[in-house]
Amino acid sequence: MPENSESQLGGISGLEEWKDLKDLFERAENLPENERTSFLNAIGDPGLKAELESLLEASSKAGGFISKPLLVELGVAADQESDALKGASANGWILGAKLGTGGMGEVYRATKEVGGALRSAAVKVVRRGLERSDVGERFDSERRILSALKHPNIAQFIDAGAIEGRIPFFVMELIEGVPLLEYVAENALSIAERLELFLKITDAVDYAHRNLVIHRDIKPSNILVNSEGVVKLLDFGIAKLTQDGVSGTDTTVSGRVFTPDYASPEQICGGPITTVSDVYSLGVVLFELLTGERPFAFKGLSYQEVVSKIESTAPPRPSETKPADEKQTSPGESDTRTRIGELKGDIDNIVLKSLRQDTAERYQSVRELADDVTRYLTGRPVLARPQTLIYRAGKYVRRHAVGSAIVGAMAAAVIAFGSIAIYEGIAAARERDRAESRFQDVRQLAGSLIFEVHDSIRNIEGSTPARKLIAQRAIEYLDKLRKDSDDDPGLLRELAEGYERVGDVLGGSFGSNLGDIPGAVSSYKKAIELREGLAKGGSSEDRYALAMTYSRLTQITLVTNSFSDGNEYLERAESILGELLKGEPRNGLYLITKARLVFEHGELLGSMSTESILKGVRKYQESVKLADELPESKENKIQGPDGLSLLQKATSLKQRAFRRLAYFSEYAGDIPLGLSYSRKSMELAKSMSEDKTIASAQKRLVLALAMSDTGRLEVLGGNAAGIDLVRSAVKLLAEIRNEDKRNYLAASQYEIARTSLAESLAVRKDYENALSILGEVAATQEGFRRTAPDDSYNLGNLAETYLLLGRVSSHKNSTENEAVAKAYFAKSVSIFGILKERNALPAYLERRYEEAKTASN
Amino acid sequence: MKKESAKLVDELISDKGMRGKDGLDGLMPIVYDELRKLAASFLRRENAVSMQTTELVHEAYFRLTAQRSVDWENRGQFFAIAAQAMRRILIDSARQRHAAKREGVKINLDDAPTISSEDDQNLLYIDEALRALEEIDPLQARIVELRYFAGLTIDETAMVVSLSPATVKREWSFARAWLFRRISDE
Repeated sequence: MPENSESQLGGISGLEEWKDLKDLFERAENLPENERTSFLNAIGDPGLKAELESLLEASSKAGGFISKPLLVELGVAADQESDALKGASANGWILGAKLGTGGMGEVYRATKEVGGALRSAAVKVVRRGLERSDVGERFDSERRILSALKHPNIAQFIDAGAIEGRIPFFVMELIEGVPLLEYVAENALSIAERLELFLKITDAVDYAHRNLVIHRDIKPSNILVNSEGVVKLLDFGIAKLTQDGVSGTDTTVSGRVFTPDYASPEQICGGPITTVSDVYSLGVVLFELLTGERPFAFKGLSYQEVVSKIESTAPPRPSETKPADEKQTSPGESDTRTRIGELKGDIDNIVLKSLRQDTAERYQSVRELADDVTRYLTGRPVLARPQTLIYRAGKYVRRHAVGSAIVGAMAAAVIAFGSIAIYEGIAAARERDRAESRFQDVRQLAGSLIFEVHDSIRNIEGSTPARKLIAQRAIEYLDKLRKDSDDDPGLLRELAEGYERVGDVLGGSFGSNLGDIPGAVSSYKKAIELREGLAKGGSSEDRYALAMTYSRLTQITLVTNSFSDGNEYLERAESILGELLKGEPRNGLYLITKARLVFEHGELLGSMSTESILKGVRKYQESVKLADELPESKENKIQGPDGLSLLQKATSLKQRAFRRLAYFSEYAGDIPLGLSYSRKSMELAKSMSEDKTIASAQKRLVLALAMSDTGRLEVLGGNAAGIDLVRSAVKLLAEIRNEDKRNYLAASQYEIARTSLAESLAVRKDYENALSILGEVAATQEGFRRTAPDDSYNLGNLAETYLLLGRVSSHKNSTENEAVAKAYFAKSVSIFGILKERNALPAYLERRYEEAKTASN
Repeated sequence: MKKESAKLVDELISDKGMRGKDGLDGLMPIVYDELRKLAASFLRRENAVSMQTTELVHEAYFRLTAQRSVDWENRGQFFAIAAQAMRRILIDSARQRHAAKREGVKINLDDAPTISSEDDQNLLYIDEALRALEEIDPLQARIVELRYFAGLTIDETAMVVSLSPATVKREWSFARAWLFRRISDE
């Protein structure tokens, strides 16, 4: 703060003078040099003149002073050394700012226009002067390795080449993220969450191993977590292609390049490097992930000292390392203690088994390590511990507190009968040898056809006829096997699975199908027949599987609008889940499955008939209730194979149900009720979008839709400011759509949000803008129609757009407008009519159809 | 903390009367928080991906709107806050590093790979001079903030402060001369 304004202003003492000074400064600056002196001499006030002179002098000397934004200045200072490639083109990728320099290469941010959209990537080039050295070779090998790997948790290879024919480069997915440890600290992740994250890393490494690639330099700074919470493994700079998972001694490289703190003993001491070496590095990463510390600190030690430390010291237990707890608000005594408690035992054992000096004592694969972590997370006995019976039993009792007494008795019985069964088995096998082996051949062939051959060609263009043939043959084999089969439940399950799979291929709603709906239905029905038999008095697994098959069949009825069939299937599926829940009322999987089935039932009833809509609404409410019953237990927080935990699924389900409830409240004419539901749906969508463990890009889309619904309802309910929310939604959807032009869902939802915007504008009597937006929307949806004339969803949207166009046009009271409006109504009627004719007009649109018919007359 | 700020934003949106100056002040901590995180990753050039200043601010804007459905009255309003926040972030960190060096505290190299102590000192001078300018001509100080700390172009700055680009250019070149003189005088 200035104590003395006189000194602040220099020779100037007031506002008037300040303005004069600015004025004179500007005029003087614009004068050519030789006219300035006379200009200055003409100023009467000597103080003002002196002030002006000194400022002009400062201006001429200022040079680049603050002329670049501060961060650019800082960045430029750091990169001055060599930003030389900036602006260069690498196969059309234009290099931008340098992102970093590594041992052998430099990484630049780069952009390229692909189909009208600007795509960003990272371009890695060999450091100049090194192109022809062994670095160049290694660079080349990284390029080859990366181009063969395709995994969601590995930075994706995009392209490669040589700039101006001499500087080799390759283009990788650009990852804007933070290093692993920092991410973990910033988000104050729990132990379980850290382990979940770790499992993603093991996934990536395991995948690389299966592709015969050893990373050899796994460390936290090579692992980034992007803004979506997705883990990405980088820098295969010293990775090595290998046969049988061994890459040889290779001391020349291993002696220099790795980071000692994370390197395995064999890497440091010059032994053969194998996939098990990566297991060791992962162990160090896990150690640091959990404790904030590394097991060994080699900093400042000579090579000999490092070797002797490794040979003479055992790594400490993670639980005995003081938890370096980040910025969390004062980690209380009890907090620290629980954390140590959590690490003690299984986690200690898992980490230490990864860090064994002797490779034979380590986990023999990354998969084994990952499996053990998963076992820990799901409360099952881990392998990293002497397998004492007492230990295993202890775990089992904890997991099944009630049933274990019975299990004890059962186990004794199984052991007793087991030997008899085996004896009989041998005899029977001899007798049936020949028939059996033929049978097994067919069984294998059918399985291979459906699960391997088909999948290997499904993405090849023009493979449809071949896929059809495969499905046809598979059905023949399955039918034959079914006829020859006895009542072996294992085989029956296999057959049911086969039929389901063929059903999916023919017409299921998962991924691309062959469009043979009747074929799919018949195949699913065969599966159901088998599963009904298995479920009779069978295990809960069999009954659950039956319910799932019904659910698959229902999906098809939604496509074909055979609602009454679907209604029947869903009732059956729900009742199966109901029975299962009677036995295990707190089983999370059953609860969520039932909630999902009930939600789908709501979808079906809402489309079936105007009379069934009310029933549909009840289903949505029931689905919310079921999802709410899911306990917030540790188990329900574990990510499933689809990347979502049961609790996350519950949230998503509730969000969708609330959105539907909002829709039908509005349909029922109760805007305030619709608004309160819609706000709930937006609240949940927001919480999902903030949940970093949900990787799906869909969550932004979901949020945008909830925003646009809510904003529109706000406007309809009299709060004009709601339109801001709709605008934000439109903006967000535009961004999502522009990220991937092929994302039809985003493109169609963008138009829906714009319709909401137009509707909101119309409520505010801004008819001009509403009409112009609606006109554009209709044109785009007509475009969609040309590409996919059978898409009933788009047709429904288009009919609604025309209806809205008619309504808004008729607001402008002139005869001319009346004619325009009529024309729009007529278009709406004709499209609704097409849907009706195809039996594809959902019940909730019937009313709109009626409205359009009335208005067009 | 995060939840609470989100709630605060919601409150601000729902109550239109709060969209004046008070509303802006309420948003400041949220913007500050977001930008600090982004700036931190910017400065960690070794591992993380760097961004240009404007990209940084745009990114923050996008994140804040996407996550919280905040609809700023316009982008300009956001930039005005962002520029202030950026200034605070960069000055605060320069001050901390500066103090740490004076007191002989060992600092982690990872924290500040790009900023030399000379840069820090200059930055503190600029901030001080800017505060002096603020007293005399708040508009000029804002323009400097937008240009230098938020990386806005003349045209973008003009939009934010609702003046013509020509006027902004004039004010900017005067402010630059004034600040430079003040710093070289010391």
